[in-house]
Amino acid sequence: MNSFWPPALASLDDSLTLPCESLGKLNAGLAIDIAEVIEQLNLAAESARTVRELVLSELPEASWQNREELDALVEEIRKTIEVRNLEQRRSRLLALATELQRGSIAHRRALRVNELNQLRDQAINELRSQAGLGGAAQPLPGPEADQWVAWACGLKEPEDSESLQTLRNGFAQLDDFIANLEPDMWTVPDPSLQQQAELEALLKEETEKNLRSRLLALATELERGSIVHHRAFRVTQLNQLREEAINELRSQAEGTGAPQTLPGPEAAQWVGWACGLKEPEDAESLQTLRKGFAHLDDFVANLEPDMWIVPAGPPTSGILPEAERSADNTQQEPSPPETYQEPSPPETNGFEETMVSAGPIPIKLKARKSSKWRRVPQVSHSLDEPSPSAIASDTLTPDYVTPARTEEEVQGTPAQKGALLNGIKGLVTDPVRRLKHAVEPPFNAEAFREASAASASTGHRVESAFTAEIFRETSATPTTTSEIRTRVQELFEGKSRMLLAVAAVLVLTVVGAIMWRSHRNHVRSASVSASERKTPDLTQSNPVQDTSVMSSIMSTDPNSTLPVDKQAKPKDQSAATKPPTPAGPEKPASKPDNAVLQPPLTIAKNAAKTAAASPDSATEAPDSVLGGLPNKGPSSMISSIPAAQPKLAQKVQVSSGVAQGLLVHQVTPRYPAQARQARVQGTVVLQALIGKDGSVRNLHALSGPPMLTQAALDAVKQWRYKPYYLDGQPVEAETQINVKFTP
Amino acid sequence: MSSLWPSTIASLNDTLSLLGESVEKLRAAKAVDVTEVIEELKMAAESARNLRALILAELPEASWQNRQELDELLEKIEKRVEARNIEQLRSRLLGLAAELERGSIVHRRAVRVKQLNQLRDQAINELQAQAAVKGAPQPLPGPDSDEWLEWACCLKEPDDAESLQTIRNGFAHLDEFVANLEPDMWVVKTETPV
Repeated sequence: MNSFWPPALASLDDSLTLPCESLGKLNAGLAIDIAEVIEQLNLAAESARTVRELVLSELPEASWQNREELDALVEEIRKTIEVRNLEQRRSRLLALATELQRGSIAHRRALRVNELNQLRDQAINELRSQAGLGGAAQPLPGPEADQWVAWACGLKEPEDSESLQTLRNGFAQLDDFIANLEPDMWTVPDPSLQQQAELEALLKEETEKNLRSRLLALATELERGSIVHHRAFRVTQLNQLREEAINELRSQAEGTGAPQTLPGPEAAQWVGWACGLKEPEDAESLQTLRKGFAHLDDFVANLEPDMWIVPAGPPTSGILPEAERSADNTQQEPSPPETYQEPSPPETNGFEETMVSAGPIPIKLKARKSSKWRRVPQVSHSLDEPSPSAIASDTLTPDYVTPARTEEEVQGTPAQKGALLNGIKGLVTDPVRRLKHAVEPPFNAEAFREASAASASTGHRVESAFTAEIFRETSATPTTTSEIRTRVQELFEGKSRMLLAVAAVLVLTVVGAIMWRSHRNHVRSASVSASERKTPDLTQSNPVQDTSVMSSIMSTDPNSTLPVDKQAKPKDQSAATKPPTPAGPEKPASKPDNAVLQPPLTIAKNAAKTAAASPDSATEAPDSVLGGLPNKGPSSMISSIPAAQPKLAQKVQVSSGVAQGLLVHQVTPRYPAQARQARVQGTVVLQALIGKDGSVRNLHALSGPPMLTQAALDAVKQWRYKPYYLDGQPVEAETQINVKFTP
Repeated sequence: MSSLWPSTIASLNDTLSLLGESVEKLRAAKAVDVTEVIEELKMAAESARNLRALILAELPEASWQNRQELDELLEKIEKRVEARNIEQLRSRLLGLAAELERGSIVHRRAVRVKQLNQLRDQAINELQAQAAVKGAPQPLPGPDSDEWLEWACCLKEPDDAESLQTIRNGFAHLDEFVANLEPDMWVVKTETPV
C-alpha cells in the first residue's frame, strides 16, 4: 500500500457515482446518458482492479466480500501504513542526525567552530528526541539526509517561508543550526573515499591475516623438522635457536600489531630457501629477515641445509619433482622426531668390521630413514681397502630418484615388488636367496646392507660390490635390473647351478683380489689418490680415541677410534676433504657429505688402474669381476661415473640420480597456464653443469615439450646442489635433470 | 395503457436488480464482467424508455422525478384505466340490450314466438340490470352488439364451452334466450332513412 491508495479508492467511488445515479433514474423510468454511464463503469472497473491490487500487495492473504469488509481492511492497512510512515519519518530524522554527526565544520575561528558544533549537537539531540517520541514525529521538510543540509542552507525568505516555518515549528534547534551555518563551512566525508578506506582496511587486514598464517605455518614447519648433527651440543644449540625462532614467529603472528613481512617462499620451502641466501646477493632479503625476525635469522644462519630434515608431508604445490613424490611413495617408516640422531647399532657381521677397521669410513650421522634419505652402501675410495667390502657403513645419501622415471619404475611393477619383498624376507635365512635377491635390492638400506653382508660372509664380496652398483643402477635403469635378475635367477636355478655359480664367484674373487693386490702399488704410483693418502694419515693422526663415544656415534664400526668431537662437521665440507694433521685433531677426519658423494670404490680403482688407459678398458674391468654377468648392468653404470679420472678431470659427468642426491635447494617449476590449459605434459630433459659452489650453470634443454621448457629452465636455474667432490676436491659436474610436468 | 405495462415495469425492475448487484461489487472493488453489466444497463434503459412511453401515452402531460412519483403516477393511471374499462363494459351491455329490442322473432307458431319474446325481454332486463350495477359489471364475451346474436347462436359445445360458461355465469337469461333462438328466427329491422 502506498500513496496510490487514497486516489484509487476515491476514483472507484467517483466512477461509481454516475452509474449509481443512473440506476436510480432508470429505476424511476427516467432517461440516462448510457454512453457516459458505460464509460464510468469502465473507469469503475479499472479503479476496482487497482484497489484490489493495492490491498493484496499490502495483505496478500486478504479476502473480502463487500464494501464493509473492504473498508475494514482499508482501515487496517491505513494504520499499518501510518506506523510505517512514522517509522520512516523517524528513520529520516535519525539519518539526518547521523549525517550531521558525520560532517565537520570548518571555520577560520575556533570559537565559531565551537559554537556551531554546539548548535549541531543540539540539533542532533533534537532530531533524536523527535525520533524517539512515542507519538508521531514532526514532519521534516526537504530532501534526503545526504542532501538536506545543502537544501536547508539554500532556503530563503520569503520564497521558502513555508518550509522554514515548518522547520522552525518542529525543529527549532535544527533551524538555529542551519541559520548559523554557511554551506562552505560544512564538509561531509565522501562516501566513496570512505568506502575506499574501508576496502583498504579490509585489504590490510586480509594481508595481515595471510602474513600471520604464513608465520604460523613456518613456525609449524620449524616444529616439524628435526636437526641432525653429530654433536649433541650443536643440536641442543640449534634447537634452542629454533625454539626462539618459533616463539618469535608465533609472537609476531599472534601479536596485536601488524606482523613483519617475511621474505621468501612458502613454509615448506622456506628453510631451504633461507639456507641458500648469500651476502651480498641476497642482502636485501637477509636484511629484511634480520630486521623483522632476528631469532629466525640467527637460527637460519647457524643451520646448514643438510642438518635439517623435515618429515615428508603433503606436497605444498601442484608440481613436485618426481623425486619428491617417489620419495614419499617409497617411505617405509616415519622419521622419529628426535633432533639428535643416535647412531644405528653396529652390525655384527665380520664384513663390516673389516670395512671399518680397514680405513676411515666417513660417517654421516643421519641414521634415520626419512622420506628423502635412505641408506646406501658407503664405498671407500681408499685403494688400500678391498674394494668389494667398501659397502659398509650406514652412510645416508639422499634418496635420489630420477625425476623422469615413473613411480612404477621407481618402485617396480607389482610383481617386482612382491619379488623384492620376498627377497628381503629370504635374506635372513637363505644365503643363496640373499645373494639372489641382492641384485634387485629394495629401496631399503637395511636390506641392502644385509644382502651385502651376506654376500661378504659367503665370500661373495664381488657380488656385494656389484650389488651396490646394481642398487644404484637399478634406480636408473630398471630394464637392466630385470635382465640382471633374470640372468641371476637363471644362474642360480637349481642347486647345481647354484654351487657352480658360488664356485665360480669364489674363483673370480680370489683372482680379482690377487690382481688387485698386484696392481695396488702400481696404482699408488700412477694415481695420486687423496683417499689413499688420507686413510693412513687419519688413523695415525688420531692414535688415541675415545672409543666409547665413538661407538655411540659410529653406527657400523664399534672399533673405531675416532672421537666424537673430532668427527667431521657436516657443514664444514672443505675441511673434510683435507687430510687431517696431527696439529689439528679437532678438524674433521671425514665428512659425511664427502662420504656420500665419493665415487664408488670400483670406479676409483678402475680409474687408478686405467689412469692412462682408455675409458673403455675401465668399463670392462667390472665385467670380469662380476662373474659373467652381463655387461649391461654394472658396466653401463660405471661408464657413466665421472670418477674414472679423478685427478685429471675438472668436470665430470654424473647421473641424474647422483645429481638428485646432491640437491639441497629445489624450486618447484611453475606449470605454465597455457600448457596446463592445453593439457601439455611430459618431461623436460635439461643439461646442466653443477658448479663447484653447487650452483647450476650452462643450463639448456635437451628435449621436452617446448611449452614447458622455459618453466623448467627457470626453476632449475634456482636449484642448489652440494658440490661434487672428487678426491676431496670440489669439481664441476655435468648432469642431466629431468623435470616432469603432470597436470 | 396496455398490457405492456406490467411486463415493462417487471423487466425494468429485474434488470435494475442485476445492475445494482454489479455496482455493489464494483464498489467493493470486486471483479465484475463489465460487458455483461453494460448489456444489462442497455436493457434497463430500454425498459425505462418503454415505461416512459406508456405513461406519456396515458398521461401526455405527466412528469415525475423519481420512483415514488412514478409509482404515484402509475397508480393514478391504473385507476383511470379501470374506470374506463367499466364504462366500456356497461355501454356494451346496454348496446346489446338495445339490439335485442330492435329485432323481432319469426316462427310458424304463435306460442313459440310468444315464448321467445318473453325470453328476449328477460335478457334485455338482465343486461340493463347488469349495466346498472355499481362497480364493475360482469364481463360479456363476444363481439360488438350488432354481431353478437349471430356469434352467440353459432357457439357450440364443447368447442366454445368457455365462452358459453362465461355467458351462463354472468347472464343466465341471455344464455337461455340464445339457446332457444335459431339464427333464422331473428330478424333485425333495418332503419330506412326518411
